Amino acid sequence: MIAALAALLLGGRVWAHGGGAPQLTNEPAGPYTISAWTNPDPPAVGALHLTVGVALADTGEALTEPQVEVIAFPPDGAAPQRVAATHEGALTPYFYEADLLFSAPGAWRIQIEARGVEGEGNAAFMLTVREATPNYLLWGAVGLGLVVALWLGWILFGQPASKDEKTRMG
Amino acid sequence: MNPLLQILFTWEFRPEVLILPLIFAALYLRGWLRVREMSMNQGATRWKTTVLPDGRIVRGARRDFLSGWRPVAYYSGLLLLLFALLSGLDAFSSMLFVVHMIQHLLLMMAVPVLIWLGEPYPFIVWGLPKRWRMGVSRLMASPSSFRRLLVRITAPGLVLFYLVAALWVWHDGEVYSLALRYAWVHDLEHLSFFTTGLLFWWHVTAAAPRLHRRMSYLKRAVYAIAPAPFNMVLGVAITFSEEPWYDYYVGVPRVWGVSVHDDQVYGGVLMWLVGTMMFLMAVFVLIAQYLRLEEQKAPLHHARWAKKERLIAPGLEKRVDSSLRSPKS
Repeated sequence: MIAALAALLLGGRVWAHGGGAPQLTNEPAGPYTISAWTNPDPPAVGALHLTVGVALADTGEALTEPQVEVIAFPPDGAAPQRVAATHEGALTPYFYEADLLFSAPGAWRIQIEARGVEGEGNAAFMLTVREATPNYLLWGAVGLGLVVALWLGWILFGQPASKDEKTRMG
Repeated sequence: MNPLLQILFTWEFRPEVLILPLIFAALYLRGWLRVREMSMNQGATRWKTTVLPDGRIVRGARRDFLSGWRPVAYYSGLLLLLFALLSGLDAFSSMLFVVHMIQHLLLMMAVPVLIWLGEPYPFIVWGLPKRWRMGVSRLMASPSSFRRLLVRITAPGLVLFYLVAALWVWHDGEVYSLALRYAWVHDLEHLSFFTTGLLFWWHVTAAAPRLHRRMSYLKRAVYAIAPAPFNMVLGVAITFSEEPWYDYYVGVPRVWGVSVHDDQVYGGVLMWLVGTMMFLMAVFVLIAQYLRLEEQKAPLHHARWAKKERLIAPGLEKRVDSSLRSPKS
């Protein structure tokens, strides 16, 4: 029962670690270094969450003041998508978070710009976006969970209780 | 801002994490009050007689079953669990390895011990509605396939293997990076730490439900110290490694002036010393319990002593006296 509590408790946790697939690791960007992580991995058509960390190039110390903007260039050369990355929704004040929407599969160029009192800089990476597909792992886990729940339910409630059992359990 | 204050004052509101501890806290309270009431109603004085989960009244044998410290331990465990999952500890574990280690130690060692000290099983069962209570008793009854499966997969030796495997596998650089890359792997990591911790400390504390043959205090002390060498070796290896074990932390902006190397050293030392200390503390408590039990044992009447005991135990002179007297008489 306690193990079931653990499974339910932690299984229900949402991803909120400012993590994901690393795309940039301490990439020099003017006076700063920029790190970036994307989620989900691999990226698919639809929403993508981007976490950005900005540090001072000299010391590596995390910064919270610079303004950060993310620009996503579509593969077909259409107008880029500009999104401000902010601390809103970030677990710690040291991460910047942004949500992008990929409308088409292909190679997208993601550019991150940071501006602050130290100056400004940018860093970029390429992201291959694939067609959206169903999450088979998730559906498999849900199916397995249902089978286990039905089995437990059958043992719990599917058999009539004996007279002795009824008396003993109040 | 002070790092400690940042950890203490950064909280997240996640209903999906809160809901189960709240339900179990309420069931525990209801069950505890109910069992206490039954103990009182059946003419029992509070501390000398008690009603066991199966309805039997036991006099004297389990005097501390309804002690106030049990709910205190249980609720402290639940609060610590929420602290590990919802406080700044969870948030900053993405920035510092040492904070992540504190979170893992809490999930694997502190929270399970506190939860089991509260003897949650009988109280939660008594806190359930009657139909559910009967269902759970059927689930845990000897002939049920669920119980048979549970007994097999939670044998003490296997549980020890799970714990050590969880400790070693999840701290491998590649696997750890996977956990920080994929949400579900990270959840699985926390889940396996918590579950293996619960199973291990269940055997050490001998809390209900008791599905396996009960180990003596001394056997439990040996069992409790068994994972310590594995924990120590891993902690030492992390502490003295010159290279960073976890690439993820190399890419994270540094906070509170802690370098990647120092962070790794602090995390390794924490695992090595604090982790090992937790196992040792359990050993000391179990040995103390064993000695207390030995002290409480009433001495056997000298008529029932074995031949060897007659030679070495107190009362020797009485035997000598009587044997000296008998030939003369």
